Amino acid sequence: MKPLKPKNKTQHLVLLALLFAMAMVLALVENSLPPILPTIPGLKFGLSNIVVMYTLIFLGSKPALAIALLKGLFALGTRGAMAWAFSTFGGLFALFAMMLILFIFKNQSTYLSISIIGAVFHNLGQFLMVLLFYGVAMWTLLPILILFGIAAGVVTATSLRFLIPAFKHIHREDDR
Amino acid sequence: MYDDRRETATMTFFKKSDLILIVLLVFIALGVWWTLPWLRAGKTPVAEIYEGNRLVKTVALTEGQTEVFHLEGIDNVTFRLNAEGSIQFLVSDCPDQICVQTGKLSKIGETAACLPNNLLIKIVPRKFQHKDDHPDIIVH
Amino acid sequence: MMHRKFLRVVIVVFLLTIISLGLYRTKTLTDQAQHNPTPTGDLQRFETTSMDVFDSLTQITLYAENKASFDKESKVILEDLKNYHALYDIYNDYPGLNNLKTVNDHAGVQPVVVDQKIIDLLEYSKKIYATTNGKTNVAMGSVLSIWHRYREEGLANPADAQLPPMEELKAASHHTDIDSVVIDNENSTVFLEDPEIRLDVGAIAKGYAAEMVVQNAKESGTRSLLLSLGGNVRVLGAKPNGKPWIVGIQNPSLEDQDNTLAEIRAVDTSLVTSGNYQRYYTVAGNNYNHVIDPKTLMPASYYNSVSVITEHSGMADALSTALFCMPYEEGRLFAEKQKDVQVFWVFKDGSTAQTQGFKKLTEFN
Repeated sequence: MKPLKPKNKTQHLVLLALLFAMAMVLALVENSLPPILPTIPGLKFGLSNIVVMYTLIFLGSKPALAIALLKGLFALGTRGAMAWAFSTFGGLFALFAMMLILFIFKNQSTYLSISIIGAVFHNLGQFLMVLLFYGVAMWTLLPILILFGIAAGVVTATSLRFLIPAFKHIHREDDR
Repeated sequence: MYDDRRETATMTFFKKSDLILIVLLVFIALGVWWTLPWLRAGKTPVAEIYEGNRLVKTVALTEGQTEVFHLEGIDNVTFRLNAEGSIQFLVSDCPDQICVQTGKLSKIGETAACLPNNLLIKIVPRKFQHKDDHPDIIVH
Repeated sequence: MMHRKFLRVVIVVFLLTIISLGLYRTKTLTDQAQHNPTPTGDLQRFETTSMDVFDSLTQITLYAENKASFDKESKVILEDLKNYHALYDIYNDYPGLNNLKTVNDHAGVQPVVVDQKIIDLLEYSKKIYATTNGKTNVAMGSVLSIWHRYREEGLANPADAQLPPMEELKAASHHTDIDSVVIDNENSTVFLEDPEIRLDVGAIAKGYAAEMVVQNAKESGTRSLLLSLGGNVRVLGAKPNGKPWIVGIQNPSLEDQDNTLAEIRAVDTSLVTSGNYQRYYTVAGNNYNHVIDPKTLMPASYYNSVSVITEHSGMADALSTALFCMPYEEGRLFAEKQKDVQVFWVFKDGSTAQTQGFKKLTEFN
């Protein structure tokens, strides 16, 4: 499969906007779920991080960075500074981890491994934030966050499995 | 910037080696889980038992220990230390039984009192180092 | 080109809006925590407890310069509480003191000269009666004393525990009109016109006394204080470093380890919980708690507990009792009509509900 290559700036912008909208919807869905810990409202499993992965894979690292930062701003607007820190740091941590894997293993890596690494590091980023803000290492959280990361990664990779053929289709029409 | 898209274009969804990654992560998770009690040791809260205003006994709420005990000279009240790191009034001869009904205490800020017997259990941080994120009091 | 410029302006405006919104939210949250100026000097944390007043555990947490000044301040608080306790006691006589028992004993006989603290409490109680539409009624002593008697007997002899007969309760309920509690401010007297009426201030006295005592402490210079009278929590100020006090609420009926339902960040406010775990007795396998619904004359059983957060701890105490006797829909409407009052309900099955502003109190920042 060839990467999705927007033909012009407008298309690029529309795609980015769509992905950002998706991130916001996922963030809202996640907000409506009960918190992992009632005492730490910013802590999330990072459904909206899925979009960062998609963007990285379909559009490349620069747009993915943009989405990660925008996602954080959305959290800032809706849930305050603490949520911004959690969201942004988790997103960036995940993004850099995925980029690193891609850089090291190149096309020997797989969608599944990248998804899992992304999700796990997103959660690890949040764990570090908890450490930073509350000065306590909530060790009980760590294994839970890792396991949820694996699960979230599998979910993402599975959905990619179905999405990529669809994107391929768009792509083919683009080429005509 | 380095263009990742070249790689992702020719990537596969899944390889057997991915299983290694998953197993590795699961092991890390389990490893942290197993070492938790060890990490927590020394950070567990302490139960203070008062008779009136006098501190008569302190018990570290270390996980994994079970003990049923009396205070010296007070036979009508029995305490129990539970394995999950909690303590409670087990039996008391007081009429209202409020102390027993309060149940298990494990968190900093929790208290259970037996007014008729003038006894109090209070959970405090180890070494009296109260942090700002410790609850100052817990109510039911 | 025009388009792109326009787009840029839109994006910048959008980002600025989000950022300012975020900063605003952050600021309001930190404001709550820090509106008390941080006192200079190193203050240390001290705690003490007492089991001598209001038939409950008293906890005092106070930041003071040293142990000596803590001892002085906490002693004043405890003496103050002892004084309030004696005045509001309906069970015991104190030599040389006219308290509520004296007032009760002279029901229908003659007015009793009382301390201003009793007059203030009763006037406050009348106000509360109006606010709660009679759900919190200090003139319900005749009904409550029947329950009190049966509960004491039931606890002493669990095998023979009985419920009070409804006819007896109904008969007593005809003597609960708060208007027959006559306060004479000029002569500092209280008179119960109805010889059968009795005062019982249990639903309000602890909260009210805590409020008064904390106000006294504030006037004599205390800045950071947490006072709990058997779970009636009143906090003064924040901690000296500006951090809020943390008050945890637990589900009384759950025995498992992680049963903390909420942690409140508290600055200059009070939290009072009415619950069914504390004082109850068992008849034929059913638990009967001590909060009696004036309408049914039976213990209210809608919830495991109801917590009320508002600045005046007397108000919080009274409202928590009133709300404990209201079904949820009614209680919710009632709670939302009150100003600066947040409520947290814990239902029988362990599920919870809360007023709009409650969540904000549980957030860090």
